[in-house]
Amino acid sequence: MRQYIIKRLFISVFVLFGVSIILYGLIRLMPGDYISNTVAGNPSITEEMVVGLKKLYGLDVGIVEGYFQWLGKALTGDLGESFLYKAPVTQVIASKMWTSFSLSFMAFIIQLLIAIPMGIISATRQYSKTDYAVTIFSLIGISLPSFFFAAILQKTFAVDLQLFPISGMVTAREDYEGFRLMMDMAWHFVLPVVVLAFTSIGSWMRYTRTNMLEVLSSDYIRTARAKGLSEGKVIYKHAFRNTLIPVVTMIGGSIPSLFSGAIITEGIFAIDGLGYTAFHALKAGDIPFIMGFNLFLAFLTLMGTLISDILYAVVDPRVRLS
Amino acid sequence: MSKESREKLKQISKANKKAVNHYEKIKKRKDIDPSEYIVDMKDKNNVIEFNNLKTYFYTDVGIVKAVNGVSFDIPKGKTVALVGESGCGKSVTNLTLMRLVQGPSGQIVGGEIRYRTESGEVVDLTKIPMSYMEKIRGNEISMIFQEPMTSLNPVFTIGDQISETIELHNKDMSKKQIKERTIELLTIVGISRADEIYKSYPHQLSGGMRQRVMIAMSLSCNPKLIIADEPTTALDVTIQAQILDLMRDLKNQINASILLITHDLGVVAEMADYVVVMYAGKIVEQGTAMDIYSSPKHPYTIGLLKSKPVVNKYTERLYSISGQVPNPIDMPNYCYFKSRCEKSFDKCNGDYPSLNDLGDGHKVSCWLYDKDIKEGR
Repeated sequence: MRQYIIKRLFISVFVLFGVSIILYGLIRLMPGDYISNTVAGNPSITEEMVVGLKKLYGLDVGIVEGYFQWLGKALTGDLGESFLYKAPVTQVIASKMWTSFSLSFMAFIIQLLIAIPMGIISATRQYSKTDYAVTIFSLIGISLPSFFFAAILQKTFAVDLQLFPISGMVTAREDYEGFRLMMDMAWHFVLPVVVLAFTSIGSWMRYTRTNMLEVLSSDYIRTARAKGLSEGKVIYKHAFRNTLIPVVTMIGGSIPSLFSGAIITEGIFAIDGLGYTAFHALKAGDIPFIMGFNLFLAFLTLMGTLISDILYAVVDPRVRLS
Repeated sequence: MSKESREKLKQISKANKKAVNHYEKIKKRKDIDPSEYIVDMKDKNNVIEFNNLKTYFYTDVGIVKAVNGVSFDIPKGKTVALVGESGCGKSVTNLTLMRLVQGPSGQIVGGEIRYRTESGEVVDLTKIPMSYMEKIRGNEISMIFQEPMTSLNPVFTIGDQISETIELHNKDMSKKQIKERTIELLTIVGISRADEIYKSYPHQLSGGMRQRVMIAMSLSCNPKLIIADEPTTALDVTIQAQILDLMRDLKNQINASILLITHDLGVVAEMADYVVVMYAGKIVEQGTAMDIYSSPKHPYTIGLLKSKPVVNKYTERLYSISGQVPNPIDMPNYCYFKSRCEKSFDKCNGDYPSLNDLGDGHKVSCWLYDKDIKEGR
């Protein structure tokens, strides 16, 4: 097992390397770089000043040369300084990711708490009215675009009913501290969490349902029934353990991605997380930040697959021992 | 698709829905009055009596009469073999007995399965409440399945899976007693290193070992009847013989009856006291193993026996019954075997032949013997 993990980590390095080449090439090919974005519409900037600025930001070299300059620094652990936020990229990511994580994590927990039981119930009552109702509910969630659903929530709960704040993370000019601050933030997180949770309950629910149905039709479930176990025991002991195998590995694989931020939802609710930050950096052409952020995403994805592989071995005895 | 056929499919699905809802509603009732399921046994020496059992599957293309009026008995301490081609209704018969037919499409639509429980009550298994059935399953009637590779739950240890059955039906046993009993069972079925196997997971064992575990599980509560659904089909020949010997010995030890479902006539010859031959959901011939092997009557049984290779006998080509099992939907009202039968004659176009006794309990459902029966031979 240890050897396997080391091998996987070794491969990951190469994957990250490849990802960085593609990313850098794409970013440099985007029309409009950071300098032309910032000086646009400012008549007092001369041509020489632009050239000077480009040199200052390292944008005067070609793609290949620029990539190796970036790589040289990245290999020493220096991802450069964000053009837009005027701080080291790693520092910006580290300071924003916990906001994104707490938002996504809350949504994630709620999602699972609703989706897994719903999936199991709808699988055990396949083609019943309950099953159809749950399926329709989850399909609505999958189909609703998050910006649209967010706008509806803002209109009803923030504007009309005034139950929740419309956006932001804290109430302005209150300067809460400690527990009050936490409660205030939680209050601001309600609507975004609902958006994030509701739009992805469906896929988890369908995933659980499919797996549960597959397990329920297997021979060992018939054996369990033939032993005289009650239907509840058959489902919640014998079938559930087996359904959990793929579900747990999926859950494990998704945990790293919780740090990556939700660009659209964070943007709509003006939550200062990683997604919101990355979106602005992208608009501005902030090359070091975009590079750093995307590499961070690639790293999270690789971690996710590795974690799900390890978890597979933990929950499934067939993988554990062979 | 033409308009008519679409119309027809619509009608079928509507009729199916109605029928299925009707049977599901009956099944879901919680409080069933005992008078509905308390019955009487025809013969005290029988463990189980099937009487005109009907199990249908309501499919999108029509009703499949998988078990269509099956009646036979299983005497105490005897082995009854249920023989027939794939798809003839053998497995559905035993699943019906265990009330394991997969709903909502599969439903028991008629007939009785009479069974004397350990408490001495005679009940109709097709009508008792599910909670009652759960007390009988695994305890008084247990089952060995065809596929040892997939019939054990991959995430629990062998020990857990056997102990579970014991614990469920013997509430007064302590944890230690249960473990001792489990290891004893594993030893009984011929597993050496039982302590080690107790802690193993199913995937660590071979097919033959797993089938032994299944047998241990089925024996765990000293059942009165063991249903063995093609217990050796998935195993290689040397292991087959071992498993069959084991089953026979154990059956005699606890004086249980066996309902053996198989398509392997070799297995039948070795194990069975009585043989029931099924074809397309109906019994075509039944009798003692001796009757069936020495003087088979029904052309289908004769064909089956002829298609079995015999050692030390040279044949150019092994006999095979021509044609295929008929499509089980909308069966005609004449002998289902007619189109494949070499001996069919005018009379076969008439009604479906009834199952008649040739004397001594050897019964056959064929027009060829109608005259003999009428003349009292």
